[in-house]
Amino acid sequence: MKLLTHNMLTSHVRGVRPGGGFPLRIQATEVKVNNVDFNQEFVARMIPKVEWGALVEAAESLGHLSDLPHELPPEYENNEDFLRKVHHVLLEVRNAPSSTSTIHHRLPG
Amino acid sequence: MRGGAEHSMGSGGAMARGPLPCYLLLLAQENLEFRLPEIKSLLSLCGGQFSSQQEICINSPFWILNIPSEEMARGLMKRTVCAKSIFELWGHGKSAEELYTSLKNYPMEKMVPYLQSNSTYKIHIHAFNKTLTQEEKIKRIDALEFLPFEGKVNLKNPEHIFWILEDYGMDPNNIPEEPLDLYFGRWIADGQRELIESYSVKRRHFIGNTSMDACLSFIMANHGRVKANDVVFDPFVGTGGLLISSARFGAYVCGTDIDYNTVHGLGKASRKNQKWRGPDENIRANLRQYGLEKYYLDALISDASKPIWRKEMLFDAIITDPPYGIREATRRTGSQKEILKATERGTENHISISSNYHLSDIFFDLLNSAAEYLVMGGRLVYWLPVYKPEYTEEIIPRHPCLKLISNCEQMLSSHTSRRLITMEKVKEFEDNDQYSHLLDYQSLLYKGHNAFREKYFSGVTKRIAKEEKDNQK
Repeated sequence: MKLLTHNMLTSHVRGVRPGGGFPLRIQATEVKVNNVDFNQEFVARMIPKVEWGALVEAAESLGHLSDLPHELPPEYENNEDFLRKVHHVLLEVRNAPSSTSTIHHRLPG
Repeated sequence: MRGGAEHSMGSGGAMARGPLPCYLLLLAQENLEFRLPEIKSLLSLCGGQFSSQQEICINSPFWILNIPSEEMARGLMKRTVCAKSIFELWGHGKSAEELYTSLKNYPMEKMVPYLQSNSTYKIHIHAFNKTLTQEEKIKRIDALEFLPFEGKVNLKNPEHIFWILEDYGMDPNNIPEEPLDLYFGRWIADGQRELIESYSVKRRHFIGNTSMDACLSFIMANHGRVKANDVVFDPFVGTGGLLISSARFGAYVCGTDIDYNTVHGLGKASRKNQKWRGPDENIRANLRQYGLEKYYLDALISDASKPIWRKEMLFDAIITDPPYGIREATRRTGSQKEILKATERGTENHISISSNYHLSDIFFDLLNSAAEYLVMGGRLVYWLPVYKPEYTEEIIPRHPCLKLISNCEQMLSSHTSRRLITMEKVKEFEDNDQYSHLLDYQSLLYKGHNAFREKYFSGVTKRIAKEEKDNQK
């Protein structure tokens, strides 16, 4: 699963994290990196939708922090260097599919 | 103009009087009901709106539209799979004389840039519902000599192409001597009809039994107003066929599906000697085949009835073909006995469409999640199975946050069809919206409709189906 998708799901289950054990716990041994064409416009468009703290945390836990700052920098829309890093983390780094296929079994509700 | 499903038809006519340029749209004569919603959706996607000074004959291949700019006309053609070509309309008449008069009244300053001596051109003749001889064609070209063509004729690679289009009506058994309508225009652009061939399901790596016909899948993306950099979601993703068309238009795609035996079994049965490796690999491989892998986000195994998305993560469109257990069953099993067997098998699974997940619940959940997870103005496009003897517009599921945009029927058999429903999110989702439409009587009707499958295979309809099958042999 890509970290963008992970981020789309993560916040929803946050509430159960302390007790229930969040299913999307990421293990560094399962990391894969694929090259994906960079699309600056798309990345810039996704950033406001992403929960930044969770993304940084997930990237860090996979060992691919890629110099992402803990605080979202201002005026990132035209900062290509920064957007390329975000692109890498959002779309190129992923954990192995086998570990994602059971998400639903552990979701609350 | 015909009544019925196209209830919103013609509304642009009254308000569009004015100096907007006229364009002639040449449409393909298939999926007739789907054409108007497609053209309307695409014009609004291009920042315009559907508008026509004259009443449009909905089933005709010729529509005269008012479009503010050539750029918008080109934008429309970059997406449409229903229209073949668009022309800047220079003249139109009910007879040759009327056409020539109309052409003589077309402003010279608008013609001149395309007729200059240093340019090349050709004139093409298109007759609908009639085949013209070469002699007849030349006669028509010669009759246009009053137009100030200064350029050189170049049949192979002309800069400008002019078309004479003649309409001999819709009835192939009653072709009139003279055309009913004649048009002359400058060719602007072709539509995307070639996508239908290049994305044909026949040559796709991974398909399921219910893989969507390529043309319809592009129509769905167009009805959904999918655009570049959108995020599009299919909650019943299957082999991901619907995502391919959205990705082709530059949207990033993701999907979920339920892991239940019927789908997997059918997946294997769809093509011999082909193994599934789970939805992730199927979809990614399908997108890769078309060079669209970069638009692939993820495919997750998940129950469509359970919310898994974070609130802020809104989709620009939800495009889907929910399972309703017909084509799968008819394809796999030949007899009523086997269908029963399949149903029994289904109950062994923790989630099963045929036994546990009522059709009415599928649509209830689908509309609810669309209302919750679509951006404002985002669209839900999905197929609704219809048992025709019982169909009324009231059975179409509704939701307070979603406005019905279009409803197009495709026949499946003499007694069943499916309808492509397009809805747009017009109101923010609030928690109390979740249950309000439960009380509507139409959803109760649909509750009764969860026996669609049974009706389809019931005594009478089974006989009809058999007769149809025998007739086809």
